[in-house]
Amino acid sequence: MKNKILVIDDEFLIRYTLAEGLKDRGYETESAGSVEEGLEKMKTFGPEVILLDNLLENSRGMDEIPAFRKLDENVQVIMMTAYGSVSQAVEAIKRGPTTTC
Amino acid sequence: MKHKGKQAGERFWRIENEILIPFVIIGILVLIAFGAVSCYNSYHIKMDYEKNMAGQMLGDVSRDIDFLAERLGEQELKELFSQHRSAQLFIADESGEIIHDSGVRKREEAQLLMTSMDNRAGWQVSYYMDRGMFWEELMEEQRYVVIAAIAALMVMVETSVFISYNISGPIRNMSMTCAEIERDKGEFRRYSFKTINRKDEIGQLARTFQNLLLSMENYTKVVYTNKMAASLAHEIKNPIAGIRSGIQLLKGRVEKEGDRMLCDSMIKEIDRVTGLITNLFTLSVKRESVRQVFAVRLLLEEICMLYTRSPEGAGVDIQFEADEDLRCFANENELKQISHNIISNSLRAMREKEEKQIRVRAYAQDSWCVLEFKDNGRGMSAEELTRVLEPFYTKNINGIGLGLSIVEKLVSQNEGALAIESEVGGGTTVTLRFHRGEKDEE
Repeated sequence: MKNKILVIDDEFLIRYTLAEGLKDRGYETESAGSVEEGLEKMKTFGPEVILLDNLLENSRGMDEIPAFRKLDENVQVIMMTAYGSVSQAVEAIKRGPTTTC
Repeated sequence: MKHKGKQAGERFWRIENEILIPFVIIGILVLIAFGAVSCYNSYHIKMDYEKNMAGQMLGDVSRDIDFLAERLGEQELKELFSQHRSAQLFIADESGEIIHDSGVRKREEAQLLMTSMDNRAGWQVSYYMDRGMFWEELMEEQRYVVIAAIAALMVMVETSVFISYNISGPIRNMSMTCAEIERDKGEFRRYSFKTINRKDEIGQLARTFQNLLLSMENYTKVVYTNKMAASLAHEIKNPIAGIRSGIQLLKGRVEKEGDRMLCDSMIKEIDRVTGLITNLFTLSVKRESVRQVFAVRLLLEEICMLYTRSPEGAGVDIQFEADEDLRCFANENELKQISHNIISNSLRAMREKEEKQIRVRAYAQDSWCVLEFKDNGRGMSAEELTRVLEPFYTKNINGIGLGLSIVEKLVSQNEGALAIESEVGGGTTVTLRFHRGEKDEE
């Protein structure tokens, strides 16, 4: 079975490159530009891993983790952020994603 | 234009007036007071003298009358006294008949000074003074005082003019230069003050100002860089990261070797821009370094090994020397960046040399851990040396001029000290000082 990854980022460039790059490396990927779209895709696509950008247009990715966990409690969430700070990473890990990068 | 000229004129005279006019006014007032006191004194002395004279003369005349009254008849006596030669006397008998009148009484300026009837004949003997004569004589005596006063006033005016020009000239010069700087904004370096060589406070002020202008250049650049970098860093870094990963993705998909090379060179350029932005960000963001005690030898070993193996360090004899147990209290990553920046500057400075040599030495000195980076590159002139820490100052066409600014920032962030020695053709030595570990300090 292929490993399924869902990429959620509001920037097309990042979203597309990540999804395509992972596809080239043999993963099955889908991408979404917002949390709502991501939640929709999750239902149909059923990913094992979610790559979630922290700074989305309308919300903080970190705050949306429980919504994804509600649909699948085993889903692994990897937070992505350009504003890397220790305090943010600690906060994110407390909320339960797998890792922050 | 005319208005401008008037304004400049007003400014031109203001300082002189503020120093000169009060000086002259005070001088004149003092002289007037001095003159008045002097006149008052001599008036009284002279008047006392006149009164003395009058008393003496009246006494003499009274005694003469007493003496002669016993021996001569009244008529004879009157005749004798009518020929008295004194120019100040007036003599009349009991009935008011004038015996002697020198004429002084009728003059407009005559003043009765003393009168006496203390004689046997009962005559009235009066002594008159000629006020005109009195004042003339007084003025004659005061002539030297007046000349001295006028001379003093002139000396005072000259002195105050000299002082005020000597002070106001340089101040005006400075103020005009400042006004010019304000109009121009930036490029502070090209201004200089004429009075910089004076040994007094004004010279000191000019020197302070000059130094301020030099550091202003740095300061404004730093402030500008900070603002720009802080607000733009993220905005630029994000899309660039996207572009970089996009190119990376495409590189994996293109088939022609040339296309892959194109992708590689694009990524390299992107990395250069990202490096620049990271540097700007390092310079602009104030942060406290998280410091810890670590072994310097390991760090230097790692850095030197990196350069020996990398293409950048090809053909360079890079060696280090450090005490085995030397500890340094600083942020290790920042010290790594400091070392990289210094070494890459050295590599650039040695580009044209055939024998390239870098020596890194670390040793303990009192409570300090000293790191010394020495190269045999082209070295720097004194002018370059004063500007080398200035952001964006570079002699290298491909460089941006932030390397050493970042070194300075990181060193001070780690409470260290930085010194650079250099000589044209004689290489450059950069010396860093950091606190040693707390254990060593004890």
